[in-house]
Amino acid sequence: MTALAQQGREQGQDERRALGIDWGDVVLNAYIGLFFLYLFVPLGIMVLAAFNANDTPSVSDWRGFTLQWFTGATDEAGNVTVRGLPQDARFLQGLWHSLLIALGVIAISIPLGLSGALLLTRLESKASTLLYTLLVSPMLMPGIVLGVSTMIFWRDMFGVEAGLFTAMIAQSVFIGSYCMLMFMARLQRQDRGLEEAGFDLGASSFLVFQRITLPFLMPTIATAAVIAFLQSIENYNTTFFAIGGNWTLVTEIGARMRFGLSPVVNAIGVIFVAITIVAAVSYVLLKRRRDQRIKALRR
Amino acid sequence: MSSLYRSYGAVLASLLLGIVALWLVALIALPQLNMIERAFIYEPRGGAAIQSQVDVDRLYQQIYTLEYDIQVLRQQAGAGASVGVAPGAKIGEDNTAGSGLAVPSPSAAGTESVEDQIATLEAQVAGLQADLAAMEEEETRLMAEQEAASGYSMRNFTTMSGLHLRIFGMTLLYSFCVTLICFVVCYPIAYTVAQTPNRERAAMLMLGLLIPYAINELLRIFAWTMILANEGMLNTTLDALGLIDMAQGEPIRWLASNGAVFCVMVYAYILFMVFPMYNTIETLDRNQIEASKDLGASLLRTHLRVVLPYAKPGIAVGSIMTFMLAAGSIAVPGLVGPGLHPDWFSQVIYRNFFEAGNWNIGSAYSLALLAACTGFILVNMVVFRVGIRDIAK
Amino acid sequence: MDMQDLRGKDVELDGVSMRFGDFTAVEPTDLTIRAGEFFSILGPSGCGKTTILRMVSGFLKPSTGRIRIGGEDMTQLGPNRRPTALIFQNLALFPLMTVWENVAFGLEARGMPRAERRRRADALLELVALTGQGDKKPTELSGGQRQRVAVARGLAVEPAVLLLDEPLSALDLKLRQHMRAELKSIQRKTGVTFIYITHDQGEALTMSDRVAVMNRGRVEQVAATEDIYDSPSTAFVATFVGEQNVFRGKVMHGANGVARVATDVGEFTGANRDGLSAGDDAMIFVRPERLDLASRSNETANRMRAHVERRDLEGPFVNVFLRAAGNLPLVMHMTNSGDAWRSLEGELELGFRSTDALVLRAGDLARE
Repeated sequence: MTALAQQGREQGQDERRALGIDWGDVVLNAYIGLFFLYLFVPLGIMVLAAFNANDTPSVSDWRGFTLQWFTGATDEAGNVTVRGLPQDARFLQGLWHSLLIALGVIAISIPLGLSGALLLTRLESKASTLLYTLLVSPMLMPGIVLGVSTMIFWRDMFGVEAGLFTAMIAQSVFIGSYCMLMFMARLQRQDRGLEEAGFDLGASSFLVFQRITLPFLMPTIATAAVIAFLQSIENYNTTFFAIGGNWTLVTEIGARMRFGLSPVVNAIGVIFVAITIVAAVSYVLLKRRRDQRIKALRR
Repeated sequence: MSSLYRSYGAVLASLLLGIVALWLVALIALPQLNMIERAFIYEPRGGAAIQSQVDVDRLYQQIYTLEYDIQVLRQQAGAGASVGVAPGAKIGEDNTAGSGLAVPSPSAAGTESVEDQIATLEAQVAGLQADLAAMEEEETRLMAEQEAASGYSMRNFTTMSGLHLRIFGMTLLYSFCVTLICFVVCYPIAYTVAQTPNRERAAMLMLGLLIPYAINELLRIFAWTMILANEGMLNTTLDALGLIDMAQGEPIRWLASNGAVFCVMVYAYILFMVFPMYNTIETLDRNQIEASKDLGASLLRTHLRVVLPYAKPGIAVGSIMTFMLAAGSIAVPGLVGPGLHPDWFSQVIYRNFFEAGNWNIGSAYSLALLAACTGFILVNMVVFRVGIRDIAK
Repeated sequence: MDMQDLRGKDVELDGVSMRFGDFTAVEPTDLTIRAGEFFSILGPSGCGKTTILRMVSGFLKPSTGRIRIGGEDMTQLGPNRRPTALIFQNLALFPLMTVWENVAFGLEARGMPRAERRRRADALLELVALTGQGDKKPTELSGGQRQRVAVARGLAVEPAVLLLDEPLSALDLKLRQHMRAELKSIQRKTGVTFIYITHDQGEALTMSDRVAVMNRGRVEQVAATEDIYDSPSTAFVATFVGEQNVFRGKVMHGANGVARVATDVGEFTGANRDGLSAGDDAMIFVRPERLDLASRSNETANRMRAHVERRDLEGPFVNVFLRAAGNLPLVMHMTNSGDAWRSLEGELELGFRSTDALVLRAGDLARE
């Protein structure tokens, strides 16, 4: 943000405090409140139902608080009486598949994105827009088209049946585009003078890349890896079509939902929600602390 | 290109080029081309040609069996009554001889009757061969017809049934409405979050948007399915309010409607509209809005003339993302009351691949979807006057 | 548009104050800006001048007091219903509209037909010397041209009062000086009341009829430009506008508009503007151009010794930096009338006339 915009923001902040009741604001605030209710109430219901002993997920028909969907339950003889998360081999297996795919996706999409970005930022020809369009096109394609085309292609050409591998490839194709855009944004902020200074001091182009460009991109590589990981774990559409008879955590959740609702899905949901909230809040807190430190340094 | 080699050196530049070429060709272009090729190859299934092929094969089998029988009978006749093998078992239903033939006894069956049998069988063979000639002619004709039909053709598209075509149209229409509703609902939100002067508040609002956005699509759908289920929140609430009586009559089957799919879709994809809009409006100088007010413009005019035109790239991106996700969604229609409501086009594609096993038609339908989405992107680019680089940011 | 139609109106602030929570941005203030004058509000950043401007334009509702424009109470009206137009510091031209659409935006908001709007916009562009530039986008214009578009856009709504929030601060020095003259001439031609906010005393002094100097939310002095410079009424105004040599001390005796003050450097006599009496803390202000070599001054009342540290040639004059007793820094401006300044070295005897020295109550000084 520019200093001017920031000044504007602070000024506005003061003004809002100064102005009395503005009915337009009241309506707007009510609208925003409703919108957030709309966003959060369904999630709240889902979370709450995970702790209900009722075996169809519900909050209205409350049969007592339980953690059994998280832990499962056994009788004295050790027989499973309630199948919770730990007893659910398919979910655990699916989680393992998801992690495998995600690691593969990181390993593929980061080099793809990085190469694309380095190439496009240095390519000063008319072909660059065409290349750019082609390389970002997977992002703009419906996920199912990507899944389908990858699945058919690998079977037709190499006889590879749909499975974890094709799912990983299909995801990498579009996640690579996301990574590329992140790297391009970073490279656009790079001072070309640094590279030139490197050359001027007699460094080889490889040394310049290794000592200047790559370190400059390092934070983005880390961010891109996290984003790629999350995108991969979360993906349903593309994976669903490309994975064939195999499954990931998310496609398994989908499969369960087709056969009726189970509180075990709620339990997984609670875990997802908890991880998301912790991650989001700590991200915001870290960012704020960093901003404050920068602000303090500027003074 | 020379700038590329200058910056990175020959080795590195070649490596980069190689990786990008691999990505472009092996991961993006070839799979798409392969799909497109399949989309234009018509693959007839269970057609007349195949049927006639099967019939001809069966006929050949019959003739072969008859000839074998004749041969056996001739051997019998030649060797006198000493051969005890009963060939009749292989002849089957066409045998006109008496029971003696079925279980031939060397003493009862004479040489003359064997000759008769041979004559009858040969007559049958001749009849069948005449049939065969006719049928083979028919088969050749059908095969030629099929030959002409396969190869590149539009038949995968032109044979799309009226039902599928309607589903395709409805899917696009619904997706467009989802996009429109998401825009209308989100615009005030994106504007407020982006232009909130209080930084703390803006950060809180942002967090409130990020959390649901980060939670998996399926779980967001799942949460809504719980609400809309027959015994779900909505029905129990209505029941409690006395608007419906669940004990008495049927609860309202929300999940069985396209409306439910529509509703959940708006919920599932709305945040893909908020963030792109937020990103553009966030960079709008507050003074622009104040200047507009100061010059006497009403709130509506300020938004129509100043904020909305500025937000165009964000609106374009948001619309494209939302439309693309909605039109290609398999999760929402597949999981919200599956089988209870009319199909979404993605489900038709799914069935072609995994149930009917007709990959070429599946490819053709995928291509149709891709073309529709591409068309939507192009229309957006023209309407909002944005370039590809504005869209993919 | 016939510029004769425009008539500036007066603006009255009656006990207007502004509080943001615990922070008082503007103390209760009475201020009258006359119809058709070029009025500047001058002060350092954070002094409350922008807050006053925003209260006049209607973006802020004052915590107390009333604002009247042309005698009508405007306190409760929003910015779109006041006869004012604001020129923003960053101009806030609409980037997606053409120049003429920018200028005519206020008319569009009033529902004027397009052809009529275009005609008026062209007339205004002519007024600000931008004839024929109407179909360009603002980004295709230079900084000075954009400036004039912003003024034309403000004038298009025929305001009685044009409010300008440091609009020249983004321009380079040459252009800024040129624009000063241009703004002044536009103001003369239209007769609209201009309220100009700035932290640049040069801008305030060259363009304005009258100036208000603000510090920490208070208007310290309102006066014609020449009076602001020659007879500042507070220590802050004295040091904020132009350079000063400042001597702190105690009043020995004060009478007949004259005071004698004892300082670390010596005893001095000056005009007793605040009517101070013996024992009061006081400051004596002497402009660098009024400080002189004792040898050239025939008055003996105000003499001191100081050591030359540096001489900077500015061209037409020379800045001589000195230190007096107690490490007090002093500045003397000498006209460059030949070789005289080259021989200024070591200890010097300085002096000034009593009529050139101002004795004021001790108070805040402006920070550089």
